[in-house]
Amino acid sequence: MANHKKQKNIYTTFWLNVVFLLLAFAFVKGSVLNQQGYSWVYGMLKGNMKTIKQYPNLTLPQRSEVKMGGSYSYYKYIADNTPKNAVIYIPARDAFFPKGQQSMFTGEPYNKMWAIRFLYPRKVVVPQEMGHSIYSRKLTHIAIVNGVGLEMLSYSVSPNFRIGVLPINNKEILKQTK
Amino acid sequence: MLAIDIILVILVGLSIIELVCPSASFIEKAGLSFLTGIFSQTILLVLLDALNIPLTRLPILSVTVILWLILCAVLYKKGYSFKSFNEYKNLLIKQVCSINVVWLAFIVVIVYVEYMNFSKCMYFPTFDRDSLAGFDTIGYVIAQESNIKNLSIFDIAYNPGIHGPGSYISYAPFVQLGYAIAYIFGAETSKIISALMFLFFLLAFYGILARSIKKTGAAIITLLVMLTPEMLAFSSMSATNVMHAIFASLGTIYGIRWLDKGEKGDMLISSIMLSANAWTRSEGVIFIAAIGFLALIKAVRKHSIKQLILWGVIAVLPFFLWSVYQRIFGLTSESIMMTSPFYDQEKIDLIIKNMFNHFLNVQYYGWTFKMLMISFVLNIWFIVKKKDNLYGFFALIISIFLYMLVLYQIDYKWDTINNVLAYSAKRFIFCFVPLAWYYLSTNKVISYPLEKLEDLLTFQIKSEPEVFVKTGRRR
Repeated sequence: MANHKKQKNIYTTFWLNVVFLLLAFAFVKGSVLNQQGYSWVYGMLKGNMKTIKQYPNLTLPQRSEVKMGGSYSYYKYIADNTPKNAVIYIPARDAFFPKGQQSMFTGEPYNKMWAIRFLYPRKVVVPQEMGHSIYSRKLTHIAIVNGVGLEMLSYSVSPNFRIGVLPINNKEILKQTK
Repeated sequence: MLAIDIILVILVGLSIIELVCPSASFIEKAGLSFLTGIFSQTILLVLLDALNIPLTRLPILSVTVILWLILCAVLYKKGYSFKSFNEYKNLLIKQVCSINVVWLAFIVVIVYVEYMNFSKCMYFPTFDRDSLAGFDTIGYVIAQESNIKNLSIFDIAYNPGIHGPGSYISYAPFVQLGYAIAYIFGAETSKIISALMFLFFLLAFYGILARSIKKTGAAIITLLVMLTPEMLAFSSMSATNVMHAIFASLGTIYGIRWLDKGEKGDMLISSIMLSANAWTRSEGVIFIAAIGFLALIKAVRKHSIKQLILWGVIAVLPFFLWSVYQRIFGLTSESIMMTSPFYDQEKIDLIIKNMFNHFLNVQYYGWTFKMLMISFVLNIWFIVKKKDNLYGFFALIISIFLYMLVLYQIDYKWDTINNVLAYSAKRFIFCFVPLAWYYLSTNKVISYPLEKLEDLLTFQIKSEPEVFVKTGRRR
């Protein structure tokens, strides 16, 4: 008799589990994931997983480019083309994001700390520090962004040169040419 | 090397939690282990730096091993011994016997969502503005220059605005030091820290909730906390807010439990988590103030102040040490806090309006604050008649009030108040999300049905250990 009762309890509990499992499923699928905020974040995670599965072997620089686009590529280019002891001038926000124009940059590449993260151990000088920082008198390179920065060079460069990094004076270029 | 350090960090954290709260469940201990361990290691980094010892792998590993050995020695002296294999086996059998399908389904969903979140966090490098323009860069430079106080980016000659209002030189140190640890031990990005913090938080939150409202309810609530849209999105980024929310909410939750149940272990975990919260963001002191205020009232009524003093000392000590360290080594910036009282009705209205708009925003926080209101209203009878969950209620209310007070006292020199309230304040509210879910689910009106649900769904199978005891085979 006791055994029979115990079996009956297990049987009831089993069906209760099934019923509440269905309710839980309906709750999560029909209610939670239908709510705008939850469905947004869940969809975002699913989308990211799709990208991860699609490109599992991307290197860190490639993944950085996916997230930061032109800003990362540009700083990587500067880091690859300047010596580690370079002191680099970075132009202001408007150069990166000209008003009324589409920009290849994202994030805050004009922010000093932002730039340091990708250019370290090179020193970075921003416009508002000119004349205030001792490094503003020791500039070795100018980051040219949308043509801004060319005016700081002591030698002439074609106005068609829109983006890149150039030494502040042409001694270094001459040295390399010799 | 990074794996070795992480294991060591977990062992240190586990030993600390085992020492201060042996009665915590295994899952709580596991969850709190990394959180406590990494917090302890960042303190060690500051101490090493103060002693002019370079922050490189060998010194960091050495002091961490020494700390762990000391903790093991204290545990040994206190009579701690490892459970036998049979005890673990019996514990596991007991756990397996008490599972139900609904709990299992929610756990599967939690694991699946966390798998996606963890993968996303590890796959994409740091890209958010606040990290690249602050925490991640500072951590990276610390790793390159092997110190904190003489960093090139803290040099006024290189960075003329470094001591300006709201400068990152004066930020609380946890996040940047955590990232520095990842870089020092060879990580390509610092994202492992954010990923592990959220993973271990979920374990700890589930653990503490399971102790309060049983495991099926705990699994449901943990899923809802985890899915909080804005918080989940930020948990895989590198900003401070989610990490701060982890420490602040756990510290407050353990504080509420301590005030409710009076257990010393909960008190000590609360003080450790709250000290980590102020070590992560300075405004975290408001959570210490909220629990401290409630504990003071209780201490005065019970004429017992000893535990409150111990709790208070642990909670504020690291923050105090960091303040002293900053003063000694000049890591200070122009204050953004207005210390003298003033009255500005327009500012008050603006803060209240913006904060409440955020609280009611389901796009950011899902059902969190709506459920909180519903639970509160339904529980009013229990609050009035049975004084149900009063500490939880007041901890939540006081901390929200103090947070708004901090926003009011800030002199917005580096940004506009509108920008801060519109963009930053929505992330400040993360702290209240786990806290709100803990409070609403431990209200009698919610916890009672959840406990009943657990009883209904649990199979009444006699577990193996009891059979062993009855047959006497264990002896």
